[in-house]
Amino acid sequence: MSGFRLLDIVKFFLPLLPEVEFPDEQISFDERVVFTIASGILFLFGQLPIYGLVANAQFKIEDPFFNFRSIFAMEKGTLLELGLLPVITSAFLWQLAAGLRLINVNLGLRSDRELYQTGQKLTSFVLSFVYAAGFIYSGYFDSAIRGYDPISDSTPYGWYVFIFVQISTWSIFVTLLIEIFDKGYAFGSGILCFLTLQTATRFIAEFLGIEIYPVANSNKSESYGAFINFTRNLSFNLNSLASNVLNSFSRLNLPNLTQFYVTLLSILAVIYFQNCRIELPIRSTKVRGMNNVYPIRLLYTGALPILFAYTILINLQIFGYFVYVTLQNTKTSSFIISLLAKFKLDSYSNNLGLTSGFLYYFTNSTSLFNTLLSPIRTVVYASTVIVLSSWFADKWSYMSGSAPKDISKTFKEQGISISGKRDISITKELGRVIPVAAVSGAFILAALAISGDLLGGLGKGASAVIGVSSAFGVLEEFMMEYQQTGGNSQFTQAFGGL
Amino acid sequence: MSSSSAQAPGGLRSAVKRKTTADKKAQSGNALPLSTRSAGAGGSSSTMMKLFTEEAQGLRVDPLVVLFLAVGFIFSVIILHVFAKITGKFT
Amino acid sequence: MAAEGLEKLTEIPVEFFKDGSAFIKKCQKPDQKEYFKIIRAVGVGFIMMGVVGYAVKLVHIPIRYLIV
Repeated sequence: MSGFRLLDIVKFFLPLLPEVEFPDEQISFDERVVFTIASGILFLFGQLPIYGLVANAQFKIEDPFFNFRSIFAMEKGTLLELGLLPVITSAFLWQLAAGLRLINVNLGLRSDRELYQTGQKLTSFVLSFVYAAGFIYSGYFDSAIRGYDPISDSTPYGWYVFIFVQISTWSIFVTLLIEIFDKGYAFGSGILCFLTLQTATRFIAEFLGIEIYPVANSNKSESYGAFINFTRNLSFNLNSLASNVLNSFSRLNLPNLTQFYVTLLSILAVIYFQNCRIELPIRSTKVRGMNNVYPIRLLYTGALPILFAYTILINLQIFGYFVYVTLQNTKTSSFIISLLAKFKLDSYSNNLGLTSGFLYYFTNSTSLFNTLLSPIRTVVYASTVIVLSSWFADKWSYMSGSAPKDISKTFKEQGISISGKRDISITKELGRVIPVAAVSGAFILAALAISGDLLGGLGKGASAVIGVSSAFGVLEEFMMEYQQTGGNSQFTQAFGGL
Repeated sequence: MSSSSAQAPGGLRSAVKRKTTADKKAQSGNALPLSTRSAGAGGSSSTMMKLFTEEAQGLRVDPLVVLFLAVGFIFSVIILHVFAKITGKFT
Repeated sequence: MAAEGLEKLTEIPVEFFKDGSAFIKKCQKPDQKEYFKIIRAVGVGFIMMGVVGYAVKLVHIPIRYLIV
């Protein structure tokens, strides 16, 4: 048993997996800006409709994952169908496995680190194959495949292959784009940068989106942007004003104003909490009279704990749905199926909503009304998110490279110590502050995300929380780089007049 | 001339050396690090999720190649769409 | 045994809430001026990203219309 290691399996695939080269020389500031923008735009171009689906497929697909998809940039009926889900899931799996010592890996060794990294990539590829195959198997695309009638026609294997190849290939490209970020060609971490970009885009699109979509199963059409829709409703039908205003706050098929306000409030709150910190007074042991402060943020672990919690939830939801479909295909008694899940199609938005069963308790509700109507689900859902994210924050604050021990090591290297403390007690002092900060920060963010969900934000509050707090990390790196080398950047000169 | 090209300063040999010394240094600390960053390499920090910070073996590709391949893939999907539309019109 | 476990289970959150609220009380919170400054800085970045992203999204609409 001890001789076998998971990493040895990875070694087998090593020559097959693409690996982005490290830059030969220092990447200039301008080049990094170009790489960031180029990969960002490419990522967004993944919203191309899948070949093989009918036009406006996003309204025809019966969608069981609508609760959480906005967090992972999963765009219905497009190449980004899987979004960032495979790579995020694989990242958490591996980093937790190493941090909790579930796998035998010595990260101090370079060779092991390389295998570990390749393992993450391999898992992300494999997961995207699994999700893609699962989606197709569960008949997710069936109602939108071109020229296919689920009842009378035979199984459209040709289309299935096309769809599978498209979404899994794009998912691989997304992983490689993330690798470009992480290797230092662009700013920040690929995952967080894409999440931020996605959130920002969604935020603007949902407020001001001018495109007009037909409403499913009716002959009306509505604007995508909640605000645009609101004003359109105001000007056209004055006699049915009340119902129209209500509609712009509560429609489910397209973004509504409630979701917008939830997002906005979450963003403002996150910015506030992001700047809460405890400042530990530090002094230099080398230079006398050099006093400074070392800030320990309340959001010590940033957005990662909530991202983790939602990753667990959506995976539960997706694999639960696969099991549900499998059970249905094998003609298991409907009682057992109803214990697991019971879906009901909302004909207006074509969302497959859960109405009861095990999975039901781990989803957010579509409106405040539903939240109040099912208190057990609300409590179970909220406590799941809070417990998962607090647990993760606690663990992560120890195993990411910024644990108390690591910080005190850097302190020692730089000749810094906390005022009024001896060198040895630095770790202890930091150990008293950091986990508390991490867990309380995660708790607050989770509470924010949940309150958005309970108000009917459908994961949009959570996605805003994650997006904005990721933005801080990316912006910080950007500003640091800018101050160091920005002086002789072409872009600064070009935009200097602005 | 030839000697300088055979052994460029900071070339492969010194890189290998650096790797091995870094490995030895890491081994001397007896506690196993919990993450790549606490092992002294890059990687996820407390707020950032960085996955691919090491240069592993594998099919080496330039980042520009990745970008161009991605664009190529998108174009191939677009072409499929267009093709389907054109053939759909005439039949 | 069970009671002990239950006690422990309630103890952890209580202790955590105590620590957490003490921490938050001790926290240095951003004052209004700082807060607005940050909101502006982040807001500009965020909205710029959003507009670029949405522009790409808008480009998709005619493409979609043409090809699907």
